[in-house]
Amino acid sequence: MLFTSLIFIVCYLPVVLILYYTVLRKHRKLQNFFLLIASLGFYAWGEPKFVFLLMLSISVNWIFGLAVARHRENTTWAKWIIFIMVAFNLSILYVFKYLMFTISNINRFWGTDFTVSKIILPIGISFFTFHAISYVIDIYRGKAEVQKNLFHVGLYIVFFPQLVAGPILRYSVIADQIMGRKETFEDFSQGVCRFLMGFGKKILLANNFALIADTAFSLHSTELSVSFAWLGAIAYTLQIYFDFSGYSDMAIGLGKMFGFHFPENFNYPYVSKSTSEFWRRWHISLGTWFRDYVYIPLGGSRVESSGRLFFNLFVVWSLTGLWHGASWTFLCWGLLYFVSISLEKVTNFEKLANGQVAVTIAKHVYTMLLVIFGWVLFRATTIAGAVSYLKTMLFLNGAQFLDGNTLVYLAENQLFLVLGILFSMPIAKAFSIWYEDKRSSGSPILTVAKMIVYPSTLLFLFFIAMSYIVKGSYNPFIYFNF
Amino acid sequence: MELKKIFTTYKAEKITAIAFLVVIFGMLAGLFLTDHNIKEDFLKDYRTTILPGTPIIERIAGAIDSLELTIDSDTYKREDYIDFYGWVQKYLGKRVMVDIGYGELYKTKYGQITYAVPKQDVSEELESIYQLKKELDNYDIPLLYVQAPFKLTPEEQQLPENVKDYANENADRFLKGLDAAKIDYLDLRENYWSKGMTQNQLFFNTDHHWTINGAFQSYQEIVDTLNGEYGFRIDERYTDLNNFNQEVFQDYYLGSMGRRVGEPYAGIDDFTLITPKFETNYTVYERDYGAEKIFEGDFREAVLTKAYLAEGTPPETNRYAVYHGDNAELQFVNHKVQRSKILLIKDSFGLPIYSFLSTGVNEVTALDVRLFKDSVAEYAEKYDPDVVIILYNGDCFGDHMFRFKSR
Repeated sequence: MLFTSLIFIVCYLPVVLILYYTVLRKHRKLQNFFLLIASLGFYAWGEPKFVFLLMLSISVNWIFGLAVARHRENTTWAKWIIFIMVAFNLSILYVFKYLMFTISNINRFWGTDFTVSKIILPIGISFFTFHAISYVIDIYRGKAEVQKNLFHVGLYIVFFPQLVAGPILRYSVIADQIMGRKETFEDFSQGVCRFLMGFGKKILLANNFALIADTAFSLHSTELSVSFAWLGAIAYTLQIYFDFSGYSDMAIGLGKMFGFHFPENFNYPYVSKSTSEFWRRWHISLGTWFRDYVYIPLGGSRVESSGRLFFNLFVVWSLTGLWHGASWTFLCWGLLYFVSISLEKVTNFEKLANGQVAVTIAKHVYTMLLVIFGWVLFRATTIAGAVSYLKTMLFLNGAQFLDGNTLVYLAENQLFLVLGILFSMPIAKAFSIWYEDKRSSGSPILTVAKMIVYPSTLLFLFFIAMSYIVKGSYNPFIYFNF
Repeated sequence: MELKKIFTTYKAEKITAIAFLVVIFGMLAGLFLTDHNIKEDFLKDYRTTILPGTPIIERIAGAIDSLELTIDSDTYKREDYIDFYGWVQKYLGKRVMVDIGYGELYKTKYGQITYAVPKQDVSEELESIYQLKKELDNYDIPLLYVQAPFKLTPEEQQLPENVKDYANENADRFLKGLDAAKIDYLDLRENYWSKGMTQNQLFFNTDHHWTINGAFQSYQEIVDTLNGEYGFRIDERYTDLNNFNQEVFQDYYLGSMGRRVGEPYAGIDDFTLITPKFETNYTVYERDYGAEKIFEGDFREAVLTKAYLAEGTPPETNRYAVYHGDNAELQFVNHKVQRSKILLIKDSFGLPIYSFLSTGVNEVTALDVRLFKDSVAEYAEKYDPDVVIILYNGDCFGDHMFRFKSR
């Protein structure tokens, strides 16, 4: 089920809310069990058969958690349990996500003829696998207490707001909230507002950008003009940001409606002045997961040789790339960041001529160009397709500069493009700070204005977004590869 | 007191949350309180898509799909949401809209809503019509293919400049194929736009069909061809518009395209009902799935399906179908004229055409091969018409419109 489907908005969410806050109100364990069942139902809605895989993952990792807690004092035993747990989880991930890719490449490079029947990728497998690994490792590291209740482990792994598109939650962050959270109307209200913002981002911005990007990336190189290639790449840059951050907003908002506090996942990544900074602002939960569970265990930056540092970075960025999908394009996209971040580390790029306006602008332009080129690689279905697309963008394909597609898509989406660019920068945040500053200085007009304008605007945008959904307009789900 | 305290902080967020809850719970309640029968709609869809004996997991998946489809189509205030969507698109200045059925819908330079037809291979259609022609030749029954226009003119780019419509190109290639096989055709497109009516008078703004006036103009041309080349003697009074009543219903019709984008965006069409002034007397036979319905009386009684114009019906009502539509087999017997029989193979553009044609001949029988499963040639042999006419608009290729054999 998707947050942006009618069935979720008008059936699933009201039913889950009313049961949670009425008949189950005073029974935390029952509430948790209900949320677990509701989450499994949420998952089964799109993938009925894979719900058994999810239940297997929950049960086995619950046992691993108990085992590692019991043998935590015995390092050898604990390490073996961790090794088996990681092997188990990664094996599941590998079979469903990477086996076909491996076999096809073995056949391609070694001329063999191994066959493997088509394996359907369970949605969200990377998210719930990483949750499961985080659970057992956090217990092993003593960052959280073992959870003896199987259903609570299940709830952590599959809680529906974060199940199919993140953010990736660390068990240590959530552990206390499973039993100890406190639902308040204040949190609930903020959760609703956050959900509505994410809903609007996804339906009104991301989906409209998707129309441009999908057209641009579907055209043959002979049909693609330079201007439309750029428009398509920029549209995809905006699409993936508003789609992904919109989903994260919805997840964080839904979490708050049930009293959970999830960490932030995006922090205006397109204002970054280096690719290193970009990754501190983009999909923060994934970056920190790899940092804490891969990069630091490998030695991180505190290693003796630069060779080892580059090796560590190489491993992390290769895995980051492949985490997004089993394809050479994702691997190359990850390696692009390996190269840029390594170079930035070597040149101490982030501290270079700080404070000079021209340099700051140049750094921002460099970062955004690299990010946009990276998204082309990410969005293309093949390396050859990506190279051809990039060549068109760089005037190397002999394509005409301007065409009807550019003019029509620009005219049709001018407002969305302007809003997309504006809201990808912290304008709303700055306005909010300004508003709070003015309000605290005692302006009653501003308080009243907010009481009227804020709900009206959010609800107006919600109704517009709902009209798009009811109409059945374009609403792609872009995390099937994850 | 407690409530007051709750609202002292984050008031705006709380107001938003309450309003949001009212909306989603209202919509949930609305699902069950409206005229739609969710359970019935769900079961109907489920039973038509999931066959007995389907494995359990697939049955669950099928049930989920059916339920989702039912919720989508029975959403509370669905039409209002679509109107609101249209209103938003209008103020955004949009000319292109995504549509589940057509991919995209466009507003043309004349403010009309349409879709674009993709390029089609017409070879199978040609082969099919060659076969039919051969069989009809064996029975000495002449065949005339009538190419009705699609909404967009061949010469003018009415759509946004990056969109190409291939309806006319597809039709041109098809007619070229008929030429090569020496099959007679009448291309209504040649004169359709040059007889004085504007694009907005010839096609509904909110529907993909021609207007009733546009259809009448084409009817006159068809009769001219039948009289001139097929030995018909249809009296001029049956084609003179002065001998027909024209009732104009203002702001009366929201066609199928308009229903998809909402009235605020599409606008609303006037609807002209054309009926004979002269005396008529009909028996009309409507045959579907082995059942027969009979209508007797004058043109208004027997030929028109007046429910589509009934008082109080909303503009979304399919007014165009007032000319009796969408049956596998429809036979008009005109008791006031004693000569000539026409067998018409038609798409929806044929509705006003067969109604008007029936005024000047003894019999018109119309078959819709999307619904009619028997052999057209065998039917023609038994029926023995003076001519078989195939009348299709420019968007008829690649859509099972040329299945003339028994199946």
